[in-house]
Amino acid sequence: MNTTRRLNLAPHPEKYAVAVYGDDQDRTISKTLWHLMPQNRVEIKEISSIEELEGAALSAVLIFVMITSESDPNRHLGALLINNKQVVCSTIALTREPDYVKRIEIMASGFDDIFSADHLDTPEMKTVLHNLVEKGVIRQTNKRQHEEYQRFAASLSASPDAFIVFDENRKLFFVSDHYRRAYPESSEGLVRGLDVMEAFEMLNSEYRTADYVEGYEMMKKFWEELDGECEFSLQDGRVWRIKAAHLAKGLGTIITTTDITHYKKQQRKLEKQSRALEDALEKEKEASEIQKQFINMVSHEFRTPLTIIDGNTQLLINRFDQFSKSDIVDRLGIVRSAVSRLVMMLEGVLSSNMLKTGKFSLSPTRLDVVEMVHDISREHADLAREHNIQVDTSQAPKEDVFLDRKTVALVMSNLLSNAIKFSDGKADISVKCQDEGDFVSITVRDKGIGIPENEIENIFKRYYRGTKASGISGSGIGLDLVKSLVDLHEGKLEVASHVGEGTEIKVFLKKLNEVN
Amino acid sequence: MQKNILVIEDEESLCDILNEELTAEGYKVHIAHNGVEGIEMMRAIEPDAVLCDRAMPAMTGMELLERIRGVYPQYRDIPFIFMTALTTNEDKEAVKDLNPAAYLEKPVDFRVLKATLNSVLG
Repeated sequence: MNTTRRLNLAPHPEKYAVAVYGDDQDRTISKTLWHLMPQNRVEIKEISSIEELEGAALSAVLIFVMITSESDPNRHLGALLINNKQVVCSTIALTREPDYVKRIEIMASGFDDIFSADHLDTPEMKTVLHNLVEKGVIRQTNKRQHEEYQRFAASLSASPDAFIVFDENRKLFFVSDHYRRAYPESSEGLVRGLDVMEAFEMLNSEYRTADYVEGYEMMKKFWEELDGECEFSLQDGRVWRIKAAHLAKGLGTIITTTDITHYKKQQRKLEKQSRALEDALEKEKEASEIQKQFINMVSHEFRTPLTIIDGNTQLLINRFDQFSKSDIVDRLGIVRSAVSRLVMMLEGVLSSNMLKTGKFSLSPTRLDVVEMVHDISREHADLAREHNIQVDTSQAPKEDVFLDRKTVALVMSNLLSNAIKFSDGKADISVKCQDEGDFVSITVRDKGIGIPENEIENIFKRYYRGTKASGISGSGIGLDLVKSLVDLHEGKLEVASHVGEGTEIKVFLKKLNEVN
Repeated sequence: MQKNILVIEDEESLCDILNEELTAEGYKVHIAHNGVEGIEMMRAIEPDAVLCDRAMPAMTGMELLERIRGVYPQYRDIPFIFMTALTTNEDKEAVKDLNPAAYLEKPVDFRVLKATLNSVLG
């Protein structure tokens, strides 16, 4: 049983027009027709020009043309009206011409029928007229429906989305042009009355989803239920969104397919940008927090030697006369040591910054490493009178080597000051310098607090301070600087440490050529 | 009668200077190099005032004062003076509740240090 419903079009107009045209000055024909017609449904219009008749033909269901003689030009009006495709009415010629052949000729010129004006007012004629009016009404309704359908189809085609409509029995009712373009191979098969699942299989065979099995099951479920919405990726990378909407009054379901490839791409891009922005903000926040901590630490680090300088200076100012010459020399020696400590820290901060900004470069200098290792060790020994720094250069290079002097000084100073800092009360610190072929190694070993195993990998990170370092002054840049310098010098680092036993750090620096 | 001052400071050369300066001022100076040593000496000598650094190994000055406030209520009347290079508002805020008698910033002017000691020793 085909229960496909017609489109719900505009209601029938109140009255249909019946147009009468011709030489009928006494209006006899109009009056007669008025009596014969179903008066509650028709309106008789008397037309006085051909243009007016053509206009009326658009809305009339029946047109009478009075043809008075053989030479009456109106006898071709039928053809004129019929050839105009807009006309849906029935056309009837009325004539008083008795000649049968001539009447056939008139009719053949395009009218649907021909009647004798003299026989209008008869019961038979009444039946004929009623039928013709009915036929005109149907024609007009069909035409209006067709126009409505065309408008509906054109409207849907104007949308960027593709539509397919199923009636309440899940049979295909309408497919938009867009849909046909999207599925060129299936287009011909998509005929009215096709079952929804048949349509689905047809469409599915034309476009495979990216993930075939999962995509198929998902799509199958959607088409079976004809409800909700889902998104799917095609093998060619496009992404489509398909959405089912129920039509009002249970008239069926419209499926909208939208290509959201661009939208998805934009969305992904936006998401990515937003994530990047969040990350950047987070990093910025972290960096600024770290920066703040760093500034606090550096300020603290600088204040300690400054306190020593200032304290000694105040002592000398207040009680200069009470000091012996050697006391004064000792005091000033301490001041100088504190100044060296400040300079070393400043050097460290600056070098670290220069390394970070790529402005630090190696300058190979001919060095007597043995002498240098002893010098730096002695400087630190002066600063840390409680510690005993042992220096072993028995395996050091026998001849001068080319190294970057600043790197050697900074690396050694940082390792030594760490060893001193983190081995309070444990006096022994050893420094060893060895020739390692293409490299020179410097090992600094203490018997201090040690580094927990899980923290060793972090100690060379900028600003990182171990859990054991709390309460011990430091900026957290020392080992980061050491690592950067060693990297720049194409060397490597080895760390061995046990909590409570001490730490040994061995640094390898590559011997440079005279001109690097 | 000579007043006992306990100096808790890990920086050796600063200990020397403080010792010299405060001894010259007529105080009896006792030196501890970290917090742990500091508490031991506090119990041993029960000083008239404590002059304490903050950033020190083994036990920080703040941890030390926390311990004194928590475990040794008998020492709550001994004036406790911080002398430290930790000088931000946050640093000071962190120890406020421990109620130190004074908070001196390094480097410190000895006249200020002496005036502070005079005033806390009443």
